[in-house]
Amino acid sequence: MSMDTLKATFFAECEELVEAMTEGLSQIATDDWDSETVNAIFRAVHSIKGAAGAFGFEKLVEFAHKFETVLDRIRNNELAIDADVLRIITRASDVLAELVELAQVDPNETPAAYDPVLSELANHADSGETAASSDDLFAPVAFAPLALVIEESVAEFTVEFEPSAAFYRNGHEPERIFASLGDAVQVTCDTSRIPDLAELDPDQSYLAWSIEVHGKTRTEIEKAFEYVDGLASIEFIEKEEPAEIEPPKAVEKPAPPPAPKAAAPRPASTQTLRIDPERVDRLINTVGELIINQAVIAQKIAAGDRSPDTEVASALDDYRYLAREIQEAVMSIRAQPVKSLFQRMARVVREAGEATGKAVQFETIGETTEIDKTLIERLADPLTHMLRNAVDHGLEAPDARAQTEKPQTGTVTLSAAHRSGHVVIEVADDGAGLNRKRILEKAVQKGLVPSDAVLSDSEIDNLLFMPGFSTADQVTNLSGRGVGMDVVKTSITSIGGRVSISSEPSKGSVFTILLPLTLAVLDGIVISVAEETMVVPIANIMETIRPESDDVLELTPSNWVLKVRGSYVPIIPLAPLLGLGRTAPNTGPFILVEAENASVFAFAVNEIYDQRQIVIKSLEGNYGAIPGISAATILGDGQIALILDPDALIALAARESASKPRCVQEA
Amino acid sequence: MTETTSAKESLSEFVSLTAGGQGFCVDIHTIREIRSWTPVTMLPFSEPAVLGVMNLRGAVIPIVDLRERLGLGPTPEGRRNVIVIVTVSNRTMGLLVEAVSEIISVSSDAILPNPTQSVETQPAHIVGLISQEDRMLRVLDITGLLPADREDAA
Amino acid sequence: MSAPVVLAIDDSRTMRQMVSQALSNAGFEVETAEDGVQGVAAFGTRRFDAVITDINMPNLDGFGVIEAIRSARSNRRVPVLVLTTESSEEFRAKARNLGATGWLVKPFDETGLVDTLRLVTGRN
Repeated sequence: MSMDTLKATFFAECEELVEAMTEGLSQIATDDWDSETVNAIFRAVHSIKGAAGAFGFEKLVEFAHKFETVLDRIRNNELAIDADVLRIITRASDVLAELVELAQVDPNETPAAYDPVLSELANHADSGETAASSDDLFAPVAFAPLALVIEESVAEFTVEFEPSAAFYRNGHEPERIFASLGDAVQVTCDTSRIPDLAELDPDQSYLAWSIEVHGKTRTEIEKAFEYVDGLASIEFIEKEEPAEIEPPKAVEKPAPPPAPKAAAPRPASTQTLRIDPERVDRLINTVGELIINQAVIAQKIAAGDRSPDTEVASALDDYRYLAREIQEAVMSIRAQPVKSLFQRMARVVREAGEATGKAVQFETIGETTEIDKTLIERLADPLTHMLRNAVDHGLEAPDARAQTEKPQTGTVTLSAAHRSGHVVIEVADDGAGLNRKRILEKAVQKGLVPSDAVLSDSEIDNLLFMPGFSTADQVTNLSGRGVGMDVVKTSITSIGGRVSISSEPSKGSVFTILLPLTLAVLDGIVISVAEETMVVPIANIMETIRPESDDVLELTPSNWVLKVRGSYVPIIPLAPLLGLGRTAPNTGPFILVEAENASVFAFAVNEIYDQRQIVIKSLEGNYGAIPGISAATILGDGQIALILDPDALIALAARESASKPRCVQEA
Repeated sequence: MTETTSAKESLSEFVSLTAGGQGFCVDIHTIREIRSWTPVTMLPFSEPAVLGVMNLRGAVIPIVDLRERLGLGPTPEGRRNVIVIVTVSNRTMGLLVEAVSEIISVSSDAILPNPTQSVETQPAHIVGLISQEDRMLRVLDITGLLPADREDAA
Repeated sequence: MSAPVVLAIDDSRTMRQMVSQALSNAGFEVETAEDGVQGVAAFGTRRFDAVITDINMPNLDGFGVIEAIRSARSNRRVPVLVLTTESSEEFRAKARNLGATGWLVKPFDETGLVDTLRLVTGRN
């Protein structure tokens, strides 16, 4: 095992410890804590310090040490947690978390807040610091006090050694000490003090030894007795130059027998198994292939000449059922609560609050919601951006907020929940809500929409996601950075999710992310467009419709609608949209989909087949992104089918129809 | 003896192939395998040379008509047509060619620079020329043949 | 003689790994436990030649471990080493009073740990 492996272990462990620390702090912040909470934080910081020392991460050790000292004072009720102390330890935990991250790259690197927070900690660490100064921390091996001896000569020694009862009770054995002195040892045992059997107490010590040692220095001999100092009377007599004689030491009084165990051990924590994520990925992929394989067999049997054998059919059903079961089980291996992600986000919100000078309260809901680990990782960036936005642009500036009825402290809420096979993550603020007038102005100014465009509220809100749109008048240091919500949208879309906005003036805004439970598979309906087989994700589908012919109405040659229960839904013929054919099969069948802004469209397709679960294969690795297509999958017959991205298709259709009239005008 | 060794070291291996009736060759290290033609799945909004995508043992790979890509018109259907699977810069694709002939070894000094690199019809895809017996083989730079990264992706 | 068996109790995975690595290299067989409770439980499962324990641990701390081990007569002769970042004399004295055989301060060096173990187990 190499140092690198150890470091990997260390950083993995630090991640958990930081999580535990953050968890404890959030309990303190919500006033839901007890002494064990502080103990847990202390232990986390302490463990980080202990192992960091082994790698020589001095900055980390120095900081953790100071932090730990303050926590120790809290633990010992020497320091009460008031708002100020809470703020300091919260900042300290942020710095510590950052130090851990930095240490992976450059252990000498420190975050900007390092020195100020360290000195704040020092102010509160005062009387707490007793024994360990940070100088001690790097003593390579600090055994019991042991003088460094320079130039020492070998001599003949006699050691008079009389152990106390505690010597034996502490796991020491005279023979072991003698053995460690080497072969040139002559031991004489004094048994004169052994009492009569009747009076003999087996726990008492009655023996004494006289040990003659040859060819050793005094230091070497002392080392053998290093740990028994105080547990025995040890007297050194140097034969040749008996000048320096160790004063005899008092035999330590045996300690009282140990009290019965007071602390009732808590039940062992949940057993965990650490698995290399790659193995799980392999398992997930293989299970995906297994499901495809089931589909292949089903298809082959269905295509066979023989009339379907009922036994085979039911065995095949079992196969499908089992494959799904395995898949669910495998998926759950990789599922993780969003808690750690949310805790990281708490840091983001705090920093954003500090950077903007806004008082922010961060609330989380549904921390235990489990989602695929890979999704959690890929949510970090978009969520960071959204939360910074919520603080920076969502919440009012302090003076503007003061003029409202709302509390001075703004609230940003991050929540997660499972909803019908999806994960819903929401970022909400109680700020001023979107300024739709400004958004529209800006979009017009940037040429994103024509100046005479009449847009619904939700259409305006969605302009935020258009590439090149940025709401801040001046790009702020915080959420500016040249990226807009379009980047957030792109990253959410790339993990198969959707993001939408709802906003109410002076009440605030909510950004909702809808995610699949996993990245690897999705449920979809297999369709054909022109001659091509494609898949529409079930998540986007409201229903499929095979209409009566008089339900399809032509408004203009390029503008058709479908009558659905009394209302008219615009038809988007997919074949011409995807450049697969000029003739628009406007007669259906149709797939009704709901766009992000809740408006409904009818996709005209050629054929609608069955619903099935498919394994997602990215197109981007070998090819690149295609407008309107999110990925591909491999069907039972080995053919590739493209997976449609309904939202992108709707946007594509909107762009096409918007560009057409203009072309006419120009012509 | 020493001479032989040094000559061996500078030998490069190419696979020669035919597209649009012309002789080309591709560095053997970029070639993963050669497969017969199977129907592909069309990709919307692709350039004409991209025929579609194919399932290569569970991976989705784009198939490019080499002849069309080089501006020589689409490859007509033919029994000898094959797909050369190549991997460059971690991307895998298939090249539809009319035929694959042989593996050739040439020393690096036998590869001549392409004198027509400025000619518009055949841009930078051809990075060298090899004179092989009675014909001229054009050395293809595969990287330049990859389907262009789509702007919409970003 | 079979390899001496050491029980290493530490709540830090990194420390467990480090101690195991150092001791295995030196020919010891190492078993690990993640906290005091697990440690005491593990101690009961087989005969150990020595125990190395951390002090600050959840569920049951190192002092508790020493106390629990020493509370049984038959365990009195098993060396118990404390390996901790704590270096205060007060802690050291407390551990000794409870029956600790030796005291090592983290970060430890491999040789120091091995030498000490050899010393207290009498295996040279």
